[in-house]
Amino acid sequence: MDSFDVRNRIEAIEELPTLPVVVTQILQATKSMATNANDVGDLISSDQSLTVKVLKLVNSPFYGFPQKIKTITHAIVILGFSKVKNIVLAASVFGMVKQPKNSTISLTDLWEHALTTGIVCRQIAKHRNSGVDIEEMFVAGLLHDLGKVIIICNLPDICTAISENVRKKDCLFYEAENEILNFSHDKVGVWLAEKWNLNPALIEGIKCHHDPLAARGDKEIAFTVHAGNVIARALDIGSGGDNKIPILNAKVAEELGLNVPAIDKIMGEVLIEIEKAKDFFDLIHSQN
Amino acid sequence: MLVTIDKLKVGALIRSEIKDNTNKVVVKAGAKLTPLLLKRLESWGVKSVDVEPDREDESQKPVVEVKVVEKKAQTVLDKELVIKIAKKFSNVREDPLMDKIMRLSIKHLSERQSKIK
Repeated sequence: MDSFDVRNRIEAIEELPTLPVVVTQILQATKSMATNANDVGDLISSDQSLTVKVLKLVNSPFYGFPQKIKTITHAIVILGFSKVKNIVLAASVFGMVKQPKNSTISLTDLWEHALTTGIVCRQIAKHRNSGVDIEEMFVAGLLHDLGKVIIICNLPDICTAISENVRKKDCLFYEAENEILNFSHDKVGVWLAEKWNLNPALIEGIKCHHDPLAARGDKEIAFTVHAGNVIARALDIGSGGDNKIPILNAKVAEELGLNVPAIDKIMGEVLIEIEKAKDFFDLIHSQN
Repeated sequence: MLVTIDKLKVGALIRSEIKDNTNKVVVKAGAKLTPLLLKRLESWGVKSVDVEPDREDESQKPVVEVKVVEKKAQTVLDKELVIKIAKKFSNVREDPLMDKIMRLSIKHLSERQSKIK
C-alpha cells in the first residue's frame, strides 16, 4: 500500500471530519487584522451549543478565574482573543466524529490521550516561560493525533490491519503503520489540518511529533508536542492505540530543559491539572 | 525482587504476602514456593511474585525494583501497576532518560492510586 493510494482514498472520502461551520469562521476571522472581539463574540454566540460548552470550559478550574464569566464577550475581554479561539477549537473537536461500530480502537481513549498530551504541552510551556502562547501549546498537543481519528473513522480496514500488527508485534501504533502503509498518522493529520486551514505552527506540531528534529522554522511547538506525547503516555491516561511508549529525543529534552527533576515536577503538576480539567474529560465522554 | 510467574523457581522464598481480590492473605511472606503452590498461583491468575533474589541465577533479573509500599493492602495492586508500566517501557529501557521516566511514572501513578483509594 503506498501513500499516494491512501491519500487518494482520503481525498475521496466524502465525509472527512469537519469542524462546525461557525468554528471554521471563527478560525478564519481570527486570522484577519480587521476582526475585533465583538465579531468573534457574535460568531460564537450565534451557536447556542458552542456558547454553552465554551462558557462551561472557561469557568472550569482549569482556567482558574475567581469570578464567574457569564458571557462570551466577557470571556474575550478577560481571556483574550487567542485563548478563546483555542477553547472553541478544543470544545469542537471531541464531537466532530462518532465512534464507528466494531472499531478496534476506542475514540474515547484516543481523545483522553490527546487531551492529556495537550495538558502536558501546556505545562511544559508554563515551565519554560519562554513567552509562547500556552493555550496554543494545549491545542497543538490536543490535535497531534488527528490523523489517527481519520484512520479509525474513515479507513476501518486499514485501522484493523494496523491494530492487528500492533497486537502481534507489541509495538507502537506508529511503527505498525509504517510497516503497513510506509507512512504514519502524522502525515494523515497534516492532510486534514491543511484542509481545515489550521495555522502552520500547529501543522508543524502534528507533522513532527514523531520526528521533532525534522521541524522547520520555530521548533518550539514540534519539540513540545513530541515531549508532551511521551510524558502523556508515561502517565498512562487514555491510549494512543498501543501499549508502548516512544523514546524522548535527548536533544529535544535538552533544548526544552526537560531534565529528570523538571519532568518529575511537570508530571506531578499535570496530574493536578487533569483533576481541574474534569469538564474537558466530561465533554469527551458525553460526545463519544 | 519481582519475578514473573513463568520464571519462578520451586524453592524460592516469597518476600511479600500475596492477597486475593478480596484483600485476604492467601500466601504469607516467608513461605517457600512448592510445585503445588506454583500451580495454585497460576490458577489464581497471579502475574508475578516478590521473592528473595536467587544469587546463583543471574537470568532472574527483576522486572523493576520496587520499594515495598507502606500500606500492605496496596502491595498487590501496586505491583500490577509496576508490571504494566514496565511492559510499556520494555522497548526503551536501555535509554537512560526513558528508564528514569519509567521510575517517575511508577512513582506518580502509585501516589495517584493511593489518593483515589
